[in-house]
Amino acid sequence: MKKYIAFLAAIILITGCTALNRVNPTDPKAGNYEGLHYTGSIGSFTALSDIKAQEPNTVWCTDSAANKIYSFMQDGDQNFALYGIFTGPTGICADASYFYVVDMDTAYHNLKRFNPANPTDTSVLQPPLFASIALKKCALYGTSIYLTDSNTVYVFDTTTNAMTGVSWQVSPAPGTSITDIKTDAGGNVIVADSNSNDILVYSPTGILTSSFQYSFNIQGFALCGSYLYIPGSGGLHKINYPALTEAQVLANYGQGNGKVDAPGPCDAFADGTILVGDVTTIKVFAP
Amino acid sequence: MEKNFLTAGLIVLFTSAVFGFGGPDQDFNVPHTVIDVSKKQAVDQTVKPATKIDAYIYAGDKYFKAGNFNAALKYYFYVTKIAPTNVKAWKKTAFCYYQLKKHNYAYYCFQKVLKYDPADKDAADFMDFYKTIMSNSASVREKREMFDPLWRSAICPGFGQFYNKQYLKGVLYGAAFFGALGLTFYEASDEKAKYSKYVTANENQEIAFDEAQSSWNSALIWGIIAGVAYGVNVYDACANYNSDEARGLSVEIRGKSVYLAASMGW
Repeated sequence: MKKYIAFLAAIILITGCTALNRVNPTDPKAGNYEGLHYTGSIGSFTALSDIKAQEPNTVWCTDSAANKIYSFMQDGDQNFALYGIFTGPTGICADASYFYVVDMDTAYHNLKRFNPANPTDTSVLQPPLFASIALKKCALYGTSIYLTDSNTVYVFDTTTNAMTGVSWQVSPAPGTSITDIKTDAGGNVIVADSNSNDILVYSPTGILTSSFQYSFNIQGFALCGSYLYIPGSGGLHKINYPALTEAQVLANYGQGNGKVDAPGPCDAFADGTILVGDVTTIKVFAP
Repeated sequence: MEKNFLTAGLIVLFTSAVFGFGGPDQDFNVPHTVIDVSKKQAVDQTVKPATKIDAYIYAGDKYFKAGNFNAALKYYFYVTKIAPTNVKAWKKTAFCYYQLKKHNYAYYCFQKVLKYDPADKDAADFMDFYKTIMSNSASVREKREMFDPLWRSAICPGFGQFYNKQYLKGVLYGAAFFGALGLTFYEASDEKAKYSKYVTANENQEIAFDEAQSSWNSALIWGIIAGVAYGVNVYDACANYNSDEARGLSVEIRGKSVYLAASMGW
């Protein structure tokens, strides 16, 4: 009799201690997982103005109010902060040898180049460039840096340290306000315009190939594989690229920090990790 | 096992039963008192009753009125020895024993009274008192129904044990069941809140889920404990429905003695 009772109790215990259903769409182990979840934040800023994710695990960012640039590891550890030589950095990009900072200093050194191994070495500073152009953002493809002011894209050659002479005005002008620029694997240039809320795709020579207009202000976007990620007031919009059709809206669920509720700078690592600027910090979303 | 504990308290309704375990026959067959002759003489000289028996009765009455029942008993009892059919002496002896709370002796004496005078009202009343007790004794010996403690324990764990007069067990089963049930509800409520938090969280989902899962497991385990306590409680109430404790107080007539005993169930 005791054996039967013990057996019955064991069966009840085993069958009863079942796991709860995982139904949270932001839970990676849930059956209805939406594909992206918040894992934490990086840094503390006054006014974050640009983010760049450099493979394999470096995060570059600029603070236009504190006049600082930062280098972080992907896990959030800070490599270094550089300050005292900027007057409003708004864009940053990096290759294997240098990182480049677009500064609001229109009179001198508005594109600054640094050696990441010795960032305080100003001997590598770019010679005075574009004195008459208020540069805002930059993107790197090969040896070319695509620079923008509010409505024009310029191409700078890092091997000659000179303008290539290629530039184009982003349509629809006037009133254009470029807020971000990226290049895809094929060298196409993708531009975000916060005035018309457009994503515009250009060939490397500046020919408009496709565009799509959104209903929200675009302050930045990330390109990861075959998707664009655009932060907006309704979440993180996942856009099929190059089709430019909306596939999904992410990071708009539940309560907590894992919600994107404002447009901001954005970038992505190849592993699918999306970095979304939130003025004072960078939110990290992982697949 | 309860038997070890059950008979722990033998409450003797009639104190005499305790003190008179040697058996009343011995006392009645062999006079257990020695009459103080000098006192008898003194009584005889002052009152001068008609007969010697009256003198002893008279002396006994004096002590009886004074509340000295032990002294009065000596005189009355002596009369019953020298005049075994004297109803008056037997009756007074019985009253003395009654006053001294030696009820088994009193019972025996009233039996003698009724033997020689079946119409004696006092003796009859006293015997009725005993018959009532014996009747109760018979009733508690009646076989009980298993359903009675069963439905009580089914409704309220521990109630059936109380019905079976196993009070300690009743308290333990009740405490175990209601304690486990309370913790089950508490943990279930906690789990509900934590699971709701998990469902709506967009950060630290794993921690939120683990907390909800932990509360769920706790609720489940307490629920199982409550269920087991409930089941065992019902089983125990049924199994002990006719136990000695369930029959409660037992009245036993041993020889010419009446004993009322109680067992304490655990």
